[in-house]
Amino acid sequence: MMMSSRRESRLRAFAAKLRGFLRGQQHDDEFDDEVQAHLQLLADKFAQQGLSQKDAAAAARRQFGNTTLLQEDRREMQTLASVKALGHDLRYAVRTLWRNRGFAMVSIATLGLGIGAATAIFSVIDNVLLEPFPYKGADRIVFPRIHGAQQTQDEGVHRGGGPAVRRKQSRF
Amino acid sequence: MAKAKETPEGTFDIKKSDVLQGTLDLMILKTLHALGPMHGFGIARRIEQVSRDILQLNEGTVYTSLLRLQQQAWITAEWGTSENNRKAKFYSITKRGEKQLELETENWQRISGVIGRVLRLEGER
Repeated sequence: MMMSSRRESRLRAFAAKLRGFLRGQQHDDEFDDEVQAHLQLLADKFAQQGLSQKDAAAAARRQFGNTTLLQEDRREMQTLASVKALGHDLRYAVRTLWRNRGFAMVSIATLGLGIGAATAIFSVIDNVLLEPFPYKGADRIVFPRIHGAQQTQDEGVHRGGGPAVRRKQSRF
Repeated sequence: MAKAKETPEGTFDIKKSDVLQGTLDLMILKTLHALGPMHGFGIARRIEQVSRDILQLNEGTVYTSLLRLQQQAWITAEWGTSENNRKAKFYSITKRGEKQLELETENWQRISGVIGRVLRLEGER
């Protein structure tokens, strides 16, 4: 209900994430400092109310809640977690392949040859069987002929039929 | 809409509820608007004081809220020194934040008015 009335801008949130992503580690430390300061102040408050140092610190942590979870939430909000994860995955992939170099080479060669062969065969089939003429709309090409009343049907082309038409015909 | 979990003592647990989370943002905006720049601890104390222990505030959630508000540029933060000479991050409301506060206050009053009216319907059967 409240949420629907909020005018949160996703763009702004994304921009903030991008900034956080580029700033990196520095942010974490700052945030840690802030949380620690808060905990300390809370503990002081409890100590003033008569708790022992140890109990006060424990009570402060209880009231503050889970700091690890908070850091996680914050990281998710402030950095592009998915991009980071992608980076980790890619690095892991490269490391693994580097460790099994022979296997990597064979895989790459197999994939390369396989894809190359498939492409080559398809190109041939496409040119020969599927789309033999390299024109747009090859299936709609017609043979235009011009003839008068006294001529037989085939004559017109050779008389003044126009070189353009003839050139086109000769291709076939 | 998430349910506000009612804890045994008849208090509300703010971190479990979307609605209350939205209101936490609103409360923080209002606090900063009314009292000027404050650090997170001060905000938590103030909300505790005002809510008279009816809201059970997991104080960490204040920081999530502050972050969200910052990302929307409704508040800004800068490092300063606190009353007792500690380094602390002070948050203050921005122009955009004030506009948002006005809007959300209006919205909140309208919605709570509607809900109030709906709940009062019961007696007229």
